[in-house]
Amino acid sequence: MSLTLPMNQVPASVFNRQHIAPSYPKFARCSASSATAILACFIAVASSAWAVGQDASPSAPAENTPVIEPPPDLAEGAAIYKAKCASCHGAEGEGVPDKYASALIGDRPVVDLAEVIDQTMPEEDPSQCTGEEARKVAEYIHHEFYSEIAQARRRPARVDIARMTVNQYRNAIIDLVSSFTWSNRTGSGRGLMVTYFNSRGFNPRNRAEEGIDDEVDFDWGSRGPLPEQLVFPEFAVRWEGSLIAPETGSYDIIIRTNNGTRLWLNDRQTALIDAWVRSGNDQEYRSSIYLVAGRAYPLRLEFFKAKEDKTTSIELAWKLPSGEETIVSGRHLAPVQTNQLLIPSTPFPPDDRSIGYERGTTISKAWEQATTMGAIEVADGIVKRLPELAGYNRDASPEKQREKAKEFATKFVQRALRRNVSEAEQKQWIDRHFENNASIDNAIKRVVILTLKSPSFLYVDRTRDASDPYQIASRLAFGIWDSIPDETLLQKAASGELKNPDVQREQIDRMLRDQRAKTKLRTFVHHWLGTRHAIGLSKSKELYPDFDAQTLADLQTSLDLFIDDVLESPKPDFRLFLNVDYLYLNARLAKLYGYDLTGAPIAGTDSSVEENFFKVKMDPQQRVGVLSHPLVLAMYSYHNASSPIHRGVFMTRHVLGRRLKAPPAAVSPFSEDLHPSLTTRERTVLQTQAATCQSCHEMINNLGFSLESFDAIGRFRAEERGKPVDDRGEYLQENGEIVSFDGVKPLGDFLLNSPEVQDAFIEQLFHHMIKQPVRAYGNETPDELRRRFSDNQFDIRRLMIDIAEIACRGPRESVAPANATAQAN
Amino acid sequence: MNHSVSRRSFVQTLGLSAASLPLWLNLQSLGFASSSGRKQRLVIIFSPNGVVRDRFWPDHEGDEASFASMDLKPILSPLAPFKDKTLVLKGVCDKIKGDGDNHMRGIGCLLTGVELFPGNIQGGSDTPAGWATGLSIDQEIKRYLQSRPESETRFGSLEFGVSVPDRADTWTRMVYAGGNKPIAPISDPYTMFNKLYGQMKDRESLNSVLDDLQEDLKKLKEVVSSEDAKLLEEHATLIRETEQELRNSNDNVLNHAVPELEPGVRNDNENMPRISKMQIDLMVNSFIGDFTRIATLQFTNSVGQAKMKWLGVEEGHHELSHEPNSNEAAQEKLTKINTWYCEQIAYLAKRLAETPEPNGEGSMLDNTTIIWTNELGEGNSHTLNDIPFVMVGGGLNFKMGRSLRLPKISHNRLLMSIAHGMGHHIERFGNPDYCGDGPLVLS
Repeated sequence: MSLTLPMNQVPASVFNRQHIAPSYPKFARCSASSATAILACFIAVASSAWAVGQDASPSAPAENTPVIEPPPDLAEGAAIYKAKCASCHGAEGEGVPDKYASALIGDRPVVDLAEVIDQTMPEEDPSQCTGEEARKVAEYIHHEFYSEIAQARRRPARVDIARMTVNQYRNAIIDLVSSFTWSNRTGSGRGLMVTYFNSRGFNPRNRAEEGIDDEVDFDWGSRGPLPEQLVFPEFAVRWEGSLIAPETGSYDIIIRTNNGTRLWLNDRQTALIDAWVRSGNDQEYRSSIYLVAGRAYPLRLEFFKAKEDKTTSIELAWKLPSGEETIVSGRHLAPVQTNQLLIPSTPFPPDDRSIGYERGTTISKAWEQATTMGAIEVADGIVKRLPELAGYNRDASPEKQREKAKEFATKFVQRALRRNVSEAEQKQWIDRHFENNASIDNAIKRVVILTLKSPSFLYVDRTRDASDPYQIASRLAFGIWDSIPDETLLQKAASGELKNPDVQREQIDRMLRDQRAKTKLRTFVHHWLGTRHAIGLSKSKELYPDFDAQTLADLQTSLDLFIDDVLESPKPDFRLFLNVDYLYLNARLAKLYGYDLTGAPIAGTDSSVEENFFKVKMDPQQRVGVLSHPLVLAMYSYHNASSPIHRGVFMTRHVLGRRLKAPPAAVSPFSEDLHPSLTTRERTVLQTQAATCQSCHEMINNLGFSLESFDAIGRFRAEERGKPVDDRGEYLQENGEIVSFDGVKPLGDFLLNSPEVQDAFIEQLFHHMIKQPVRAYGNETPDELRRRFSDNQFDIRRLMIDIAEIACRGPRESVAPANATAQAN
Repeated sequence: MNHSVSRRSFVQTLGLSAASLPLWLNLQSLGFASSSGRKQRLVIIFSPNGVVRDRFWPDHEGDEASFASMDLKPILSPLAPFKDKTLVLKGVCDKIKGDGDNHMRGIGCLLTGVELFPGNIQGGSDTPAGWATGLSIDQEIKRYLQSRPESETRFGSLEFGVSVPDRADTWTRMVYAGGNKPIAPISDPYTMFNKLYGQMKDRESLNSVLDDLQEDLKKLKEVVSSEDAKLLEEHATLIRETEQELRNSNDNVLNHAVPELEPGVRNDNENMPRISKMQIDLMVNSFIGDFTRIATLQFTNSVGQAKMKWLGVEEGHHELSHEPNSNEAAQEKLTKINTWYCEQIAYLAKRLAETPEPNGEGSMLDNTTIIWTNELGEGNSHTLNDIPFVMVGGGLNFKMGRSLRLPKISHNRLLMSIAHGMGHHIERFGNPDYCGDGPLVLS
């Protein structure tokens, strides 16, 4: 079908609501005299990250109001534009080099545009285009090329061919190799199995006691852990289970002990840390290991006390890729041992995130080389474990080994390419390498290197044939798991069943229960909140002496517990993020943030209890929604003061999905000392009062101000510098309506019901899952998704199902030519 | 030692964009040092549990003339063909005291000349101990050689092992990169092979699949749109570049053929002779390719329990070594065991003597000194006096073809002479208290 929108479907809210005059009670409008290139600053598309180190904003959602009114007559506006604007902005707003080069693209409503034109355009004489004339130009450019919708018509989004992202590559390798070994789940238990021995070794005869330890952080002094049972001068302890990585990257694993210790992690043969020999004053042992998020790795930790050891103690800690060093909490440990995973740790160049989400639409020399190194690394790892993976014994006859290795190679290729291979391919990809009596190891190596470097493995979407069930399987797997399809999916594809929408839904439902889907969604929520950037967050020691690395770790646990609450519920309701009225706190946090833990229930479910955290009810007038979580607020703050600007930019981009362009000049914030009597709000107003700033800061500041009742560490405050906090804010919606909110509760109420917030969430989730522009799947797709989201009581799980379903059927076949509607006029 | 781990840490250290050529393709990383001068080499070989003194030591001191006419005792007899290139030093003592029993100090202080840290490893007697507090002489010399462009090599040093048990404790480690930093020898010849030649094999494998990759790209290109085909064309270009780089780097990478290892030899006690030969052959190859100029080879470990059934010895070496000198049967077996070790030294000497020095004068043995040593002077008495030091070859420019009796000198002085022989003029090594009158003069 053609996606050209007939004129009567053009969202007309911008026209029929233009009578709502924008009001700017708190700030003067920008004055025309001082304005230079205001329109430019205002309207140009923003793609560079700014202010909070976030990736660029996703594109703004489209209007969705049903349209009844006939389209306005744009001819007049077109004529004025041509006469007065086109010489600098180009015939179709594309820009003119040396005049104004940037394209006129943005998400301001017509009323807003009209105002700016009226005040500032044309630059050389703003009085030339005012009032009704300015409005007509605004209507024209908004409809023709400025608005999101207009852009969608003009440059229809398409699905670009994409290789796996780095994260997808790592997961694909892990799952590909694991598909040849046993595997199990960690279950819901937490902590590690512990066994005590009445000797320095681990002879089962000397077993004294067993149990579960939540974490390993013990100082047993001279008496030992079990003075009654461990009576010998020497004893030993062993912990077993799995370690679950919360993020991807290089970890430092740290053991501190005065005694002998050994640790195996994701390798049953070679110890990661071998400090069985205690020597000199060494008491801390570190080793680094690369781990991929959401995966469980088998762990065994051994400890012994020698006769001469006077004291006994041991700690198992880690330094996360994001930089924090803490004891490994029981939340990241499970008493069940999983199988070891082959983790490809070859460094890859980072993926392109310039449009707000990682995608694999570019390649480079560094990437090509990394695929070679990666393939060799994996080939080495496979050869080392070949008997286990191919299912033969080292004592088996050479013929048997060969036969098994060949079977392995065939399956390996099929699983990697996500389809069956033809006879010719079997010869080319597999058999050839076994010819001429090549050694098994060499043959396997070549098959693996060929496969893992092949475009058929590396590229995600490989054919435009929408009916190819293997393609559907791949899209589902990458969309939901960031990995390759499993056996079940491939079987459903081979039988053709996967073409059936019912089967698709059934599979999506199954796949969402998998840990990989949960990891992907959890990662997304942190992406949405920007809270993966809380690395090394620190605050003024003078003003906030109690805010330290431990506080940060506690806050992260607190936020994670809440996110788990939402995501683990049978119907994860998006609105909970915006209207939650409790906070998880432990004693440290309760003290710092001034809450009382008495009577609050312990966090977590029966099977997994976070013992030190309590669910504390908040006064909704003071704190509501995840945006008022202290970690989120502390993140978007300076080290010594709150930052309405950071908070406002975060809300503008992440929560409301609006675009912002980079500020015209780099400006450092006014020092408090210069204006000691001003509140943060007053200082912010002063700093951004220039008209060039106001074009964006009017929106930014007024959103950020509504969170002014929280200080730089997210603590509630009623006053600042002796003055009552002014937390009034407002927001001019894309539909031209302005909303005001005095403080966090009305803000939450607004966000809870705002279609813009829902659109932003949906679009970001779509891009996080599919890594292709949502409109490539139809211009109406965002609206359709929001309608279903709303119908399903904002069930995030159902939303994921809808997204996966739409995406697995592939992009739309045809797209409208670039300027069909323009020509129609 | 995990091959892939070492490779990846290598890559991670240098970063992706460090070189315009991929590292694993880089000629320099595989090839010769740029040296044109003489290449001096050092090999230190360890066997455990002391020797049978009266079947090892020459009867008396002898200069070049008298040593030539002296008969070697049974244990040293395999060295007869290299007698004029052999130097036997008696009277060198390991005087380092402190924590640890004699076996532990025997191996831990042997090349370090310094005390062990206190620790939690309890030997048969004395106080428990940990690792050595300083680096070993081979690593000291390695640092020196690697700091100079004319002697810098790809590895700097290689640590070989034969039947070293798979556990890390004071008895199993001889080489130290520094205090508390023992280096594990590689006992598996396949692992060593991968370390030496893995990159070569990877290149071959890669080269063999490049055409298939282009074909796969071509097929894919047929089913995508013209916009998408651009990315695939870019990809094809990158693969062609890799191919070109491989071709350019294929000449002169190695000056010798990649050796073929006998496949599937299990690393167990019965295969010790085969493993020993494989390791020695790999060592010789690594010298030919100038991958390193320093190698150590550790047979088993201090208190090692090799059961040399192929010699008709069923008992473990260490338990036999505790038998008194009066137990003639035991001494006979210990003699057989030590003679077998000496045969390994002789095999290495023979391989080096038969190999002309690449781009140089004479044979490789003329430029290599092999030092055979032990953690004890004698097994049953556990003495650290008269530690065996037998040298073969001309690497250190010592005057060879002699048997010397030294006045119970501290072995630190010998360690210094070895460094001096390699051109590294250090004034002290290990515990300075034992460096006394400085390096022995042996040239």
